[in-house]
Amino acid sequence: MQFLKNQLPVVVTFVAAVTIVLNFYVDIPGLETVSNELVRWNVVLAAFALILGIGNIIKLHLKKIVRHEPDVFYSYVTLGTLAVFIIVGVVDTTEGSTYQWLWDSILLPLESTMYATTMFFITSAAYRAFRVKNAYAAVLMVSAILMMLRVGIFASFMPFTPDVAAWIWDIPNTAGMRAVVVGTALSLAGNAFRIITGLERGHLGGGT
Amino acid sequence: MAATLSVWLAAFLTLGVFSWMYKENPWFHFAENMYIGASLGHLAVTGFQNLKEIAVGPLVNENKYYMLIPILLGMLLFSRWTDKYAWMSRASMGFLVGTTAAVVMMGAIRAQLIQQVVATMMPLTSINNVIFVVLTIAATTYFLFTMRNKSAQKVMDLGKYVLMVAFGATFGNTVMSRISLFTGRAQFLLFQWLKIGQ
Amino acid sequence: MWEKLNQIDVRILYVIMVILVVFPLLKPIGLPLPISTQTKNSYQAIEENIKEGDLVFLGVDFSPLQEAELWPQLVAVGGHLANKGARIVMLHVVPGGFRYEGRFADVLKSEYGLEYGVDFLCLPFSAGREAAFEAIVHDIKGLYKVDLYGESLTGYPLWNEISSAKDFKMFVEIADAPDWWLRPMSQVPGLLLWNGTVASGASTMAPFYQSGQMCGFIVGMAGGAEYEALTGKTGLATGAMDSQSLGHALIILFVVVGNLGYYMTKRGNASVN
Repeated sequence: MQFLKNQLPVVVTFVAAVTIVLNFYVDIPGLETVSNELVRWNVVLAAFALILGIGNIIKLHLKKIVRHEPDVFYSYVTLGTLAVFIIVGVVDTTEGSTYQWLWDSILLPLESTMYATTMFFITSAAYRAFRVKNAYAAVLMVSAILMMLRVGIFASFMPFTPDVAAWIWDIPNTAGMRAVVVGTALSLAGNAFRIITGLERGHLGGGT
Repeated sequence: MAATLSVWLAAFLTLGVFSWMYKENPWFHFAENMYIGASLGHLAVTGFQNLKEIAVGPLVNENKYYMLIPILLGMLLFSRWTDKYAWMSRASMGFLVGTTAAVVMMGAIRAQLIQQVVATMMPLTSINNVIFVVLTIAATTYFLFTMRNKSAQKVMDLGKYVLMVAFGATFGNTVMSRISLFTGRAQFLLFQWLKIGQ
Repeated sequence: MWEKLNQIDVRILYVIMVILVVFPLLKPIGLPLPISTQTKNSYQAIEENIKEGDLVFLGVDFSPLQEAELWPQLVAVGGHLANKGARIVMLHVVPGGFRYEGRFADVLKSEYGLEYGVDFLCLPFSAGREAAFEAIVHDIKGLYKVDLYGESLTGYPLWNEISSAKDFKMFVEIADAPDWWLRPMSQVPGLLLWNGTVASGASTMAPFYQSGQMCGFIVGMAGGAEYEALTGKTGLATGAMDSQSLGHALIILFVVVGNLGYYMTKRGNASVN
């Protein structure tokens, strides 16, 4: 039983990952087919994982309803909308006109507006929070202002600003972000190695 | 009629979300909770459809019985909803994360590490190339956290400034991005709902 | 005065910002739109490399979160590909992408006269992001059996001409700024990579453009507006650039005034002490 709980997940991780990694380096007959199949199985499991998070939300809101907590009306709204989308989506599919109507009328405006409110946060942050307190902050702010200057209103009376902004983008920005990209690559590869070899097991979750 | 109702419902929900900028209110909370339900519902529907196409379809139509293995592994993921049987999902999670880690690792090493380093080795025939290589090395040196070398300190300081320029450029672009998002919603409210302008 | 300015109600700032962004939408100012060298080169990359009949992937990987920035890009770049006579295979690995794929399919049929199944195809959602792209690279015919509308792909002449990802000339990805698509797609020999992305994540992708791993790269709504100008078809992005300019001007003003207020207040407090 302990093997099923603790060792088997690590063995499965290792075997699946090594098969895919080996396929990059070694030409063994049949290995490419197995590797491609494993990648396709990943897509299947990812689809299941999409559905997984929903159960937790349903549990949370059902608890609120059963316990008659304050603001329980909003839990009804969440679960009701969830149910409507699932029922219509399963019956009509995402290409059906009813589902698309729901998507265009409810999800699209809500999702895009939620993100659009960040304009207000950046406005208040620009006024209240961005303080140039040292040389590093000054460099950051000058770079940000030069990038913002490259659009229309400034280009019309400061024609050099798009060229300055382009130079900042092409040289120091790209140089700095390259370092970040390389660092990210090393960290991704390192973490992936730890997961594959079983040194990192946090992703497996509870139930040990 | 359906189109008009759609526009009015979208406008109602849009203004509901924006109402939070004045102060918290029931209209905003209604819109917020509807968003949670709708986005999860959409995830569930797309997940279900995807499964039908890539797992159930080959199993039923092409007699690929081995597809029962990923379907079973996927269903075991749902055991996480219970405390007693949550351990059954560990193998599935291991497979999912392991295969993703393998794919990501290979891609990161090849496309992000090797090709980026190769691209930095450019001919030092122009002043821009020289500046670029020097700044890239300086910025990369900054990330040496495990070995602090006093003689490299000046290079690391230069690297810090380079990163500040990069983050400043990112901030400038983020401002553009956020204003664009609001402009998009303003265009909808003005042109499609109120039918003024354009 | 500086202390009062520092303590101003943020809602006043919001109102000023909203007015400045909304006003040009109602009364366009017509500010000049400088076209960056990067956008020009990206336009040329498609102009020079894509010939009539070439197969092109078009990744529609954005959700309503990024619609304002990326829908104009999709319409401009997708339209350019259609005008070049490319045969387009659209796909998405982001759950929200299906709607934009469907809407753009309608644009291709109505505005460019393309025939579905012959000139272009729409593929359905595939979960797993990077793993989905990995599957596309190694076994696209094994991954996709039906199209976006649930119909069998074998009934379409265009699908029957495709054997693998190697048949494609270019991969155009319109997405929020991930490198997750670039890592797998860069494995395909000879496949040109082209990216349109949101401004906030563009910095992360800049090194890949500089290294030559991507042949084209446009950024945000400004990139979309510049591309619209190059293709000669103005759209939503061009109309929004005046708002963009005034919004930027206001943010710069707020940063300067905010810092001035902070330092003047600090100096005032120091002299009192």
